Amino acid sequence: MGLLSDRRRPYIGGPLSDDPGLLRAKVWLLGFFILLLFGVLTIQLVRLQIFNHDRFDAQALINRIRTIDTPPVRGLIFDRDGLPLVENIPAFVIAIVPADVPQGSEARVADLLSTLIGVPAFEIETAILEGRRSIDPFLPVVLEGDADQELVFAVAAQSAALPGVQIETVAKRRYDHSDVLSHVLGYIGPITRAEFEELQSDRYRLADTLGQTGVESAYEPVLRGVPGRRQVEVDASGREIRELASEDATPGQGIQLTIDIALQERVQEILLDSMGGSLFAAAIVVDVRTGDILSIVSVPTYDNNLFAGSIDEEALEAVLTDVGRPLVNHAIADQFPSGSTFKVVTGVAALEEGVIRPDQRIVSTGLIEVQNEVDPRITYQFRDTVRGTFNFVSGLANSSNIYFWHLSGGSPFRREVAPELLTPEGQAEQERLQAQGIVGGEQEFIGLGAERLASWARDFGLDAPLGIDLTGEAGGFVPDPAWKLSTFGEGWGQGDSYNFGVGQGFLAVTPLQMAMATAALVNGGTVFQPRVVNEIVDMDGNTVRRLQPQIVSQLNLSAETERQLRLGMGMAVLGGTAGNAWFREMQVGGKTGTAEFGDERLFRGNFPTHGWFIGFAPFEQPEVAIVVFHELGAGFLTATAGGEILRTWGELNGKFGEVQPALPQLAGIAEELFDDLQRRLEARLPQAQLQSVR
Amino acid sequence: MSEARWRYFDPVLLVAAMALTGYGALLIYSATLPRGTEGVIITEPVARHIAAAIAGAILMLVTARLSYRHLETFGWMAYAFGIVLLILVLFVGSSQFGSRRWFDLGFTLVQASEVAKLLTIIGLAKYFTDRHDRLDEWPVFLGSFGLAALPALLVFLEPDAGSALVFILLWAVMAAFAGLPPRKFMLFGATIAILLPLGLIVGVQDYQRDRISAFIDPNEDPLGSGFNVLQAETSVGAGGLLGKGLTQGTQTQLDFLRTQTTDFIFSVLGEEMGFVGAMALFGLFLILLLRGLRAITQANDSLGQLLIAGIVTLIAVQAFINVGVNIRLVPVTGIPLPFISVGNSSLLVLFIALGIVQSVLLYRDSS
Repeated sequence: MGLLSDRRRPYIGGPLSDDPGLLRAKVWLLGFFILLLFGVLTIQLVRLQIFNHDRFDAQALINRIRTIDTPPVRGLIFDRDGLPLVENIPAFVIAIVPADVPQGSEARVADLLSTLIGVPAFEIETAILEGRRSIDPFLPVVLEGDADQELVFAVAAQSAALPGVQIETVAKRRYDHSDVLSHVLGYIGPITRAEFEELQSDRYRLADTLGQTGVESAYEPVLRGVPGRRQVEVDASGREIRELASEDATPGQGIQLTIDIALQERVQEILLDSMGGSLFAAAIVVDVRTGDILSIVSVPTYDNNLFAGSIDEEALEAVLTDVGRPLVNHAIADQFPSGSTFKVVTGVAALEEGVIRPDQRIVSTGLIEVQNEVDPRITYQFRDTVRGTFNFVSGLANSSNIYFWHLSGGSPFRREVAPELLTPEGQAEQERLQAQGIVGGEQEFIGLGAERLASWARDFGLDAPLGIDLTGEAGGFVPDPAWKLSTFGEGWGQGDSYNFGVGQGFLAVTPLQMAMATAALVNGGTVFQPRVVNEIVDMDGNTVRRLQPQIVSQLNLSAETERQLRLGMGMAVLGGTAGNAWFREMQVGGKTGTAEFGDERLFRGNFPTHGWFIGFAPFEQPEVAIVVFHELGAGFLTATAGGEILRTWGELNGKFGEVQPALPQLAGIAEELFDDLQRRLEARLPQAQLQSVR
Repeated sequence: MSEARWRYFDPVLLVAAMALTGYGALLIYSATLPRGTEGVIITEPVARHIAAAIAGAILMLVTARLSYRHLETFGWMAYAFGIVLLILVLFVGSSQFGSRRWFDLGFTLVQASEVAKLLTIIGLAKYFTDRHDRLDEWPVFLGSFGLAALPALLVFLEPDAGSALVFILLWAVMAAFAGLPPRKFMLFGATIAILLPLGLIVGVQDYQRDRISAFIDPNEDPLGSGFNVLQAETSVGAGGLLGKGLTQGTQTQLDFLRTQTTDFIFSVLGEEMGFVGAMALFGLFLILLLRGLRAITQANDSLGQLLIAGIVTLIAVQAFINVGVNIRLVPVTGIPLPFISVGNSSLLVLFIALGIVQSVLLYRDSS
């Protein structure tokens, strides 16, 4: 065998081992190694595919099935004549689904999106990354809540480069009459995290909006409707493959307001014209027969369209920093001492409890002195500028503090006669009064006391929210001795009763509460639950369901009590402190209040005051009650606005009748003239009709 | 050379390999089926897979016809060629998923490491055969390790830690099979065990750290680095005993599985063919591998035995790593499932490797 004849090199390796047994052992070992590898794999497969199959199968289902809620069309809001006050206009929301943004492309998507919508790229990226780690990474994060069409086209054109970015059409609200109805309508706004967590069971989504204030909030469940549901199969990048099931959304129902837009506009004008130095003012006109609010105004006001869609930061800042707090509905959300308007409550209580007869007279010398119960050397002086001798009607009409101090706290208890009353003239006067059966001087007179008065105030609904269908209603506050003891550790003094009786001291009420209490005075004692919506309607404004008036409490008032109250309030307008409310075309009733507030004395040592006016019309057969409130004002000035509002209501509703005789003079008229006017007024009060109201 | 040697040809190896490749084609078909397709269509990756299998079968026969003993002569050249490929790919390779592993030949991609694995087996077989009488010397021991460590280091730079591991495992099994003294193994293993933590701190890259932490707790970042692991596990688990049926797996069809024709093709199998389908796959692999072990006992020289041992190990280890990744036994690493995953270079190399096994059988008589 030559080298060339066999081109292969001779085999030099030889067998690996001369021992065939060793080779076999190695082969077996390698075989075991291989079986071991596949054995391990098999065990794990049994674990995954046999024992944990159900869990992974469920997970695979979760992966591919996504349930998408489709938002319903929000119900509209109509005025009492069925005209829509709000429109749903389409708006575009640009959102991103964190789970659908491919890993590693967050920065690229964020950069591109940022150049389109102007939201900083790092914010978008943070939203994606945070969303991914949240409980549900499939929840869309809203980046632009109100995109214009141009932007929508731009984003849509780039959609291939923007995985996970969604454009959703939502409805935006546009409100009519927003200048006068903002506080009633309220606005809708994006759901907050906290609200979302609370409302998730109601199938709200993070991209949803919901009513934030006003009827938009109070009637949220009605207006919202029921979301539809689509169950779709999606692929790994969130793209919809097919629809598995769907259920249409049920549109929300509409609501009809009780508000009379024309009246509302005029009331707001009147309030704005009368504000003077007040930071804010409020007025309410309510139908005494149903509790329907015909007008409710709080000024300054704001434009609720400000909150629809993208918010104009500058305008928002202006609203937030306005000293008049335009976002607060002062008519229902703020509470103040009621001042003398509370005398109607004290009066009703005193008449009903038999503390005084209507014709019984009390003299006012302009001063009551009360000794401190513990230390007789301390005396408190209660002064009043209104002097004279008053029965119930004249006491109320002239707003005599001393008359109502007697009703609430009784006559002052003295151990010694005050020095100035010891003069011979004083003594003679004292004897004359006693001879005529007039309460005054040192005669003992038992008043209501704090407990009974507080009880009546509560019955009038002054210490709890009345349940108006608007957001933010305050509850008022009615004090009593037990409260004072537990709060201040002090007993209730006679002075506290005096303050309480004329709506000062600790008492605090909302304008709404005074309006509803006034309505109760003239409707037979029914305190209605106030409301601004009286019908649920369909999308076209057709009635679906009428809402029945609800009663908060029913006072048991005698016809005589009502007669006295109406006369007193009528006389207040005709010849008393509310004379500014008088107008020629209609007889109305009213009562002013000038309520001290704060701890700081202004104006020559006096406390600053709020101006109040409560009233009703027409005098003969009351249909509406009103309240007007001026922060920093005086009752007699507020009465002017009150008269104008009542006059406007009468004018708009065709209530003008017999022209009234011109008012002789504003205040302090002679007793004979007062009595004459009162007789003429009394003649206008039909006895029979009064009873029929009950 | 007489044609009579063909009587030693093992048809079971060919049949098992073709069966595996066919199984792979089915899975690739399902994984690449466009959504909403009606009826059966042959997708491009399926056609390529089948074409590669046919080409592979021919290459296998051609290789079988050539005597493996030529490797005595060309062994070192083969090994050197593999190293050159691995170096070249670092510079001119095309990258995918952040690593440079492929040569782009225009009509196909060639994964350098797949070729180098077989060439390294040849190199090691040649090395151990040449030094079969000096195996207890340290220089021989370390030299053999160096032969495997060099390509391991090169693929690690691509980066492809999984393939690096495969090179080391090939060396370990082949060295043991060649008969390197066990105490040297232990001493060497102990040294490595001490040095390895240092190497991990220095050499492991961020993406690898991510993969390892994703392996340990994929739920920490379920949509990020843990996504593939969780989705693969979910797919396999959802398959259950019988599977959802071919083309019926939602995880596969809705693309929750990524790289489902390569690294995660076993998850397609797990979801659609179920436990039974997986056992069928394992059965085919075991037939193939056990026939390989049989071939070792029939080989009549150490070169042939070592070549087959290396090839069997290559297939077994790659299958284990690939399936292990899919069922959360092994951290994510891009090792193809032999005969199943898309990848022409891998498939052709495997068929050539089986051709070498056949060659050892065919040329058993000549010495």
